[in-house]
Amino acid sequence: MSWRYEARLSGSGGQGLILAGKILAEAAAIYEDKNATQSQSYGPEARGGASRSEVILSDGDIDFPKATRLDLLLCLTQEACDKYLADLKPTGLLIADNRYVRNIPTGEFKIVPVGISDIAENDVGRAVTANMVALGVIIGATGVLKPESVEKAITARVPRGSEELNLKAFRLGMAAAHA
Amino acid sequence: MEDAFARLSARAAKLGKHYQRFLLTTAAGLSPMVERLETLGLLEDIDLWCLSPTPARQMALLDEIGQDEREKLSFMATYYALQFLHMNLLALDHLELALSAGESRYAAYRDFLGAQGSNYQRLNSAYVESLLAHFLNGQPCPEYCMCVVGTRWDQDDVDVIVIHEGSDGIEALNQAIGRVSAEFFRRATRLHLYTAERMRSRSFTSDVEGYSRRLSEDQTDFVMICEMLSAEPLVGSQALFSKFRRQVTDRFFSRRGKTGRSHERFLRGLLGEMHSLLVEEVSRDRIDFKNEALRLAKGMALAGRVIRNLDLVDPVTLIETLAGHFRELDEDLENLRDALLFVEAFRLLFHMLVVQEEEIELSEETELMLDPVATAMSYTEKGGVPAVSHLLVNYSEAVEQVRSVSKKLMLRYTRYLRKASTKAYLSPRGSRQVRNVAVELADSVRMFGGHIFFEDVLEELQEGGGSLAGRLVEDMAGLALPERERVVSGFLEFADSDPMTLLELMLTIRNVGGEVAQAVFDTMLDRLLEQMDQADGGLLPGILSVFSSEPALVNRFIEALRPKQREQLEARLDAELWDDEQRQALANLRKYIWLRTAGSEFYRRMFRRVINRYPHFIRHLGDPERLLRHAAGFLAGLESDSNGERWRTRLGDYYDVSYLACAIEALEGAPFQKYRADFVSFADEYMANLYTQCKRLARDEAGRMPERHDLFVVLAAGGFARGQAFGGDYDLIFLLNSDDPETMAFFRQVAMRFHRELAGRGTIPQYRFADHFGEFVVTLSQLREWFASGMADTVDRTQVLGSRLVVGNTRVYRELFSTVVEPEIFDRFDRFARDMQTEMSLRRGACHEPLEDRIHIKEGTGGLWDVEHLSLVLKARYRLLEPTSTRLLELLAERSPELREDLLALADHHAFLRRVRDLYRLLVAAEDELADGELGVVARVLGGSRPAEDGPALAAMVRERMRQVASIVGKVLETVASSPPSWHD
Repeated sequence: MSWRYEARLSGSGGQGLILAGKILAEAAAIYEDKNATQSQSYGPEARGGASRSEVILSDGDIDFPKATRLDLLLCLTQEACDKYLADLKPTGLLIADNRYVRNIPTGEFKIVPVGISDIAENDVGRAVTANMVALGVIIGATGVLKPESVEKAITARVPRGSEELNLKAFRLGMAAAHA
Repeated sequence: MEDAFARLSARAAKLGKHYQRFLLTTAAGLSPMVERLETLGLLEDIDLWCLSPTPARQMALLDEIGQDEREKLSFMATYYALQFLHMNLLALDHLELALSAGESRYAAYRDFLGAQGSNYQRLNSAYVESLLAHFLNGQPCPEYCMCVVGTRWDQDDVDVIVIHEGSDGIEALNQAIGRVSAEFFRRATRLHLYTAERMRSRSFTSDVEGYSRRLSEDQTDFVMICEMLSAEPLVGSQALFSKFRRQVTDRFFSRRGKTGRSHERFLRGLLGEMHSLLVEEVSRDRIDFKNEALRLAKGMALAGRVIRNLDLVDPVTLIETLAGHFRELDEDLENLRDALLFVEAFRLLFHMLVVQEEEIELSEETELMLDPVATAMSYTEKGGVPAVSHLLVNYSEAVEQVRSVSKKLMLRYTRYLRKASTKAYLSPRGSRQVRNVAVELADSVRMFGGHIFFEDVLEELQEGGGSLAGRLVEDMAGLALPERERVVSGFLEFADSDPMTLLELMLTIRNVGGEVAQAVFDTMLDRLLEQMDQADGGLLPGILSVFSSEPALVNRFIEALRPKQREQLEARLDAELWDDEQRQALANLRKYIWLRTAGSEFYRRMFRRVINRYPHFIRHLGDPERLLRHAAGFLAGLESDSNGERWRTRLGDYYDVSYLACAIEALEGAPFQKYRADFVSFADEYMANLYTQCKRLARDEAGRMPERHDLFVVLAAGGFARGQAFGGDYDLIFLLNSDDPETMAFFRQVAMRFHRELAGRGTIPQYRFADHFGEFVVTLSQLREWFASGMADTVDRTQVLGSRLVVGNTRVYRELFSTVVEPEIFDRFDRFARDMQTEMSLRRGACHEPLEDRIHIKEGTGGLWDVEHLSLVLKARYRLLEPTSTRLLELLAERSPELREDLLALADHHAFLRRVRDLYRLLVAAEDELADGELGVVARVLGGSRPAEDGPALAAMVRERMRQVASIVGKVLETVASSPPSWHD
């Protein structure tokens, strides 16, 4: 049976989670020869506090392209956490930005609270890189993809001249996950 | 006699004008000679009007009957001229007869060349012998042997070397040779004593020890060595010639499969020269017999000769014999032989019938000039194609053949050198005894001035886990700076003669990895760039040759450069070159570097993928149409590959190459409509083929197809439906008009495979309705229910309304329209229009505009989505099936007179904004928020057709156009929303 990994990145619209989802999917599909699907909320959903971007990874065929039993849930807002936590598997992992997600119900799932926005603003120096910090935390905490694959996908997506900044954010995220 | 001479003159008219002097010589000398012969009753002893089998005896007789020196020389010269003319005319007659008899063309050429060669040598031998005897006039002289070297049938000169033994009478011999040379030049052709020129002594001749000593002093003059190796006695002592071979030339042959130092040095020099010839590009508008084919074919044959220790001189026979030794190449060697025969025959006939030149500039005039040559080679006009054209095509084929077989022989000889070389550093045990590998290698290169065969060394450096390369770098690191500079200088000797080897060597060193290797690479690059600055950029043509012949190597090299190094290289590509072909190659190189480095990583990723896989496409980067045609070639035969997995590769290559071609079109400033049309065309073609393959795989796995397998369609939605090129994803709807579980299961499998392949191309597909239904495939009944239940939101409606059929049955698509779109959208237009207006204002609000230095070109006010959503509203208003695009706006403009001006303006703005967005994705980043500061590079591409020539100006123009779009969209929406829906036909 092939391996299947469901991830949902959620937060408020404008936090760059759709881009983060695309990067994850491309890192898997292009640079690691895995199979991946990616979907996202549209329109009003994408502008609310619970916009989402979902990625399904697999080393075989993906027969069901909807994420319903999440292995990973990233929440950058309380609203997102409240809305999507129920979809997280008991063995899943919740990564939450501890600046905005203050109330996390307990469960069997593992919790990794990280100051994602703080890292973006204070250590990277640009709040807009929170999505890259989040990606780093995901990879650091799960090892679901190789860091170099994700870095290649980041480089392919971000504007020329901003590669180093975004990679710095990603690497700080990875370090924070290990801390 | 006058009649005979008149007939001869008439026949000789077809020969080149340079033969006229022989007629003049005959005209001046014939009567007195005939008169003397008749007086002495010896007329029948001399063949005046036919080719003589015994010219030596007859020449000697003429020397005897002349009364004084002037008369003797005149008689001999006249006889020579007559025989020379007969020889050539007879050869042409025999060739014509042989070719008309239907003989193998190559056999006929061989006989022609063979007869010319042996007859010419016999005639020259007779003349030289008689002249020598005449000028020596009985004086004592040392034993001597005059040998002919070079091509035996060459008539523009006769290459000779002279050997003597003993010193008594040497001055008389030398003086006689000088006089022979002068007389021969006046009456026949130049006697070229190349080797004498190289011997650095004031003499036409040398003894065996002298030749031997000269070679010991300089074993890199392989041209001289080649002459010596091809020597055959013309006149003189055979025994002396044998001694010469034993003591001078035998050292260049292998002994029992092993190399000696002389053999290896000669071989490396010879093959180094051949390597340089192979790197040079074949000219498109010039014929160069020697450099394009003859030197290569003969050089490779000679290399085989010394490796196999063969006592053969004639290259044709040599190649045939080598076919027996290199059995795996026997067919190739036969082809090489035939190509050589063809080119030699072409060249000789050109010399005989036109002019004695080695290069021919091809133009209309020269093509006329080649007509007699084509006729002599039995070419005729066929199907309206002139004879000369057929000749030239065959010539190109022969050149290709020579080059292709030479490359294979090169590999064979590389293997030989790797096994048999005396170079210690080439064996693991030997290299331990070498003090410094870097110094040894550099000294070898320097000794030959860069003309050294290095393939085996490169192979050794690149293989074996890189241990030799690592040792090279380590040894360089251990050198003091001056010594290290000296080593670098040694390697840079390759720059002029063999830049290909230099680039390979540099890359091999760099690939060792680590700081030292990088530092060595950087130093060599700096010095190479310095050399490019000197003396009229003399290295540039060599680099351009490598780019044309080995684009993969240049691709790897450019990839290895850091950005600053690339800039430094680019700065040196600004040279003025006089040669048209070189100028074109330079333009191609500049374009390649720009296309490789200028764009966003999003674009460069695709560029690298294609070029790393198919480096020869570098030659066609300036011609995206050609790339598109090549891409289509991958689809050819897809069906025949269906049984294997190759279809995946071929289809993927089709996608990648087409994608790149469209990107280059856009970057080259092609109009938006052009590259967009090409993009949609290839993407649709790809998906159609992918669907076929995925369906086949699903059928193979299931063992059968569902009863109804024509109820499945693939619809494009979102940007892809609107003909968006270079999108960040493909919005797709897999729609099945069936609720049968088995059919659903089958097409689920199809969809899964389809998704996986498409995702692998680098653009992840998205399925809006998978979010709702959890399946790749949605059924029509599911959609009907979803929409009827009111669950469908604005996004759902825009996806379905804006969809476009890519694969499948139009009936299914029409049913989607009639059962979903019409009742749920068209018939509820008011609600749809209202919802779209609400969505629009929410969307604009979310963009937090105005932004100081960024433009939301897609979702911002007056952005692409404003236009596209308005188009959907109008599509619903007018109940149209037409896909949403700029074309839809133009259609709507035709149908709505009151909105015509606004819609046409909108279409124009839309096309402009889309083009800016596309170029931004290709040049800057794959995102829809444009940074003002990054628009300069986009403006430069647009510069040809738009007034904005710098970033801020373009940003201002984009903002202004978006402002106008917003105004028009608002106005049109108001108009449309306020008036009841009616059908305008």
